[in-house]
Amino acid sequence: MELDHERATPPAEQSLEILLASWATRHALSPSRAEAIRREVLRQAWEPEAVLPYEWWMGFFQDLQATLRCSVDLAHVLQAGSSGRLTLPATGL
Amino acid sequence: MISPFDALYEEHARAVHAYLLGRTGDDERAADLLQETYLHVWRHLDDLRQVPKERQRFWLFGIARNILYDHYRRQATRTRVEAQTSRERLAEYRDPAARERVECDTTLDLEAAISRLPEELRTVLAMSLVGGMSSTEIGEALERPAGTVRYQLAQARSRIATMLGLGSTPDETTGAKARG
Repeated sequence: MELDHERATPPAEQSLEILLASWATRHALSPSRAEAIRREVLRQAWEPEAVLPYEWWMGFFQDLQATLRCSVDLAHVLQAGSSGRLTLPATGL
Repeated sequence: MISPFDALYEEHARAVHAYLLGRTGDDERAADLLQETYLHVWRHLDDLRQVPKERQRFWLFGIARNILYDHYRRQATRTRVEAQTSRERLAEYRDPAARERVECDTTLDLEAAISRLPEELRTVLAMSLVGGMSSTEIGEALERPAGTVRYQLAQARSRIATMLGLGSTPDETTGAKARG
């Protein structure tokens, strides 16, 4: 690390440096705090995704139901078509 | 073997915390934002692998800066309060009598003096003293010349000395030269 404060300091500046050093010590991230934060990050990182709300699941099942209904209808149409029983609407052509 | 995430945490967490402390002026908020920053890092480890080693510090501080901006956006009320405080400070600065009162008030303790520093000066001071970073490292993190950082550090010291009534510290220019 570079030394930003290499020169000899007069008393006032020395007092200031002492005060600043004690301020830095008070506010520094302690090793135990740093470790606690690291562990918390990893805990959150491995946590499963948040639970989806009830409304989301309701919408999901409604969409699923509609899709299944369409599939069943389509299956009936295809089945009828393959057995020759399908009557297409008159188009006038 | 240490993981890339743990290596990045071990190497820079203290510095990033100091940066966030300088920006917010609040220990607890700095710790919360540090946690958010590294959670973001964890979720973007693939991006980290693309970043050359010498750019990782800047990449990391970029994330911390964005997390901080998001935080400020969420705290709209806080921003309004800060704007009000800034206006008050500006008015105080423009009023010579009030300025003299502030500057001569030796009862101001160090915490108050540091909290009164402009955010930019407080940030480099915290990164230097709390984060243990050199001017060059701070310059790399904030993408500004090391000389500018040294000048800002000298300015910060000079302003604090004035606020605390420690009048015989060198002025900003000589301080910057001496420390350059």
